[in-house]
Amino acid sequence: MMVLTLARYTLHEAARKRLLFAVVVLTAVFLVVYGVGSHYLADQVKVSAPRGAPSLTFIAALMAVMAFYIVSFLVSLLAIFVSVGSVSSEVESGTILALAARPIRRWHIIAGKWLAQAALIGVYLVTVGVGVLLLTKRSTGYEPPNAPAALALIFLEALVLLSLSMLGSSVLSTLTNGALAFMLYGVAWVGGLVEAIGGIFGNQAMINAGIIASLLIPSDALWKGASFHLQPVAMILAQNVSPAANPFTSATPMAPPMLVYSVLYLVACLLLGMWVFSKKDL
Amino acid sequence: MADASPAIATHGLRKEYGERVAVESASLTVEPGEVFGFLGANGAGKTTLVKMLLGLVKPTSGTAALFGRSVRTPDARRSVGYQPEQFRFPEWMTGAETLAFHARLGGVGSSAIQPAISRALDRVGLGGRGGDRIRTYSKGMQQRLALAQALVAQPRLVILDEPTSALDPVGRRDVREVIASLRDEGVAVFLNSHLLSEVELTCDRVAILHQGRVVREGRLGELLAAPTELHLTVDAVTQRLLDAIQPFATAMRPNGRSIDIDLASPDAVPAVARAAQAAGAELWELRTRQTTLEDVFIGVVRAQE
Repeated sequence: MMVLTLARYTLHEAARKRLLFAVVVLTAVFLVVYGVGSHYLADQVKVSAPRGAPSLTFIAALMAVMAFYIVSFLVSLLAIFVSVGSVSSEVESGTILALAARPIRRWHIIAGKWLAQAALIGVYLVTVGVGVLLLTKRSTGYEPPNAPAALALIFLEALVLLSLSMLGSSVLSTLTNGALAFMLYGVAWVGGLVEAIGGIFGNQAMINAGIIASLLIPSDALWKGASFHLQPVAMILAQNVSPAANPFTSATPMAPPMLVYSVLYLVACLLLGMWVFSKKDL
Repeated sequence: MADASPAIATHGLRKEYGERVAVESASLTVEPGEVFGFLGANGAGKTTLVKMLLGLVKPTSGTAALFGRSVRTPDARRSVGYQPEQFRFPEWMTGAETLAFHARLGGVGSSAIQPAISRALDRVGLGGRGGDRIRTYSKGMQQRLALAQALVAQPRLVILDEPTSALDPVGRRDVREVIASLRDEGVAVFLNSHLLSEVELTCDRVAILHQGRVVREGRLGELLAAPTELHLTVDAVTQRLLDAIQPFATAMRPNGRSIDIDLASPDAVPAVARAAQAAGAELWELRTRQTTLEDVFIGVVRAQE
């Protein structure tokens, strides 16, 4: 009950601070640009595709994957932005004192904020994800083979970042936590790239570096897992034949152990954040 | 059973930050319906002790209980209102929304929230401003809101940390009246303040914290009772005069034609006047000065240093 009261407060804060409004406007701009782009590209391919050019389905799938790559990026940014100062800024400003002195447990505060922010991210992801899917289908007729699985993995990616950033916010200042969260996100991105390029050239050291980066923060691994479900079979087969096709996507589904590790990572960050905040002197 | 327990009971409460001892060993008791003043210089450890009472800071050792419940459990704070020294609230909220949020967290039922908000706002002089965003409030209004926030869940113990630091004289008087009305309702008030005159006007009992230790504690009347100071001005201070006054004084400080005398008893003033005249002194001025809380505080702190 207390957790829900705190969650409602967090949602209220997001709405009142116009964060939602800004995100909705910018996302609308993104969807309009994507819709216009995919519409004209589809027309162009239908009318004047040169002989030997990839099929419309192939190009539509490529566009959809890239659009979801942007969606994954936006959702990740949103997860970090909403959570980076959610505890630390209240500690820094002193607003936490009256709140934590109420007859509630400290973990209620973390759980309430996490729940509200996860709900916010989830609604945003579904809205923008469904928007991209509808625009893609309308322009090109393409439907990814398993969009719900892809959306679920992107959501999991955002929750990993949310939990990690919430843990950081319980321990560090807002500025330090923000810098650290973005650096780790960057490490995951570069690690994923290094692993993919290592796979192309068969370089085990690069592959291992990528795996270590994924263990440090599995956000890119989750995106790669999501990308698999967005590509048609032909595109996946093409990548299996020629792995150099696209280092930003994966031609294999996410390994179950990595999926389990990501869930455990998320839960561990969240629980650790609750525990650390419970022990913290305010 | 919990109702019969003291509002606050601490025993050997201690807090260390590394090698620095913020609170050395605080043992205090505050009874229901009592207004308790907690005094100390900057850095004496007052706020740390308050935070330990509220579970905001973990004690290194010792025990503390509110109405018989250990402060280590959130349940102990069920009947407690707290006005922090840093009275910051989210500026995007209205005053009424802030109070509604704190009322819910304080366990006030849905149907009782609106009446509780109206009552708290009226009580601190913010009636009619509850619908305004906090960013439009002055600092004084925010401090009044902080007090309303402490009162909104109808606590049995109110802990006020420097509750008038941003208020003008009218606001300070209003807060004193709120504290007096809380006492009348049987609510215990723990007042942490630098403003000694304010504490003197409102508190039943006082404790003085110095360098993390409670160095003096007692009922206000007892602390202020002794010693009364007498200022005597005569035509000339002679040894005969000093000898005549000596039996009535615990200390004498001659200065020119004047003597400051710490009386052994406040009732000795007429006897001193008679003794001075009997010793041949011409009495020009005889003035008593009652001990203030500031005298007690400064005296206690200096004695420790």
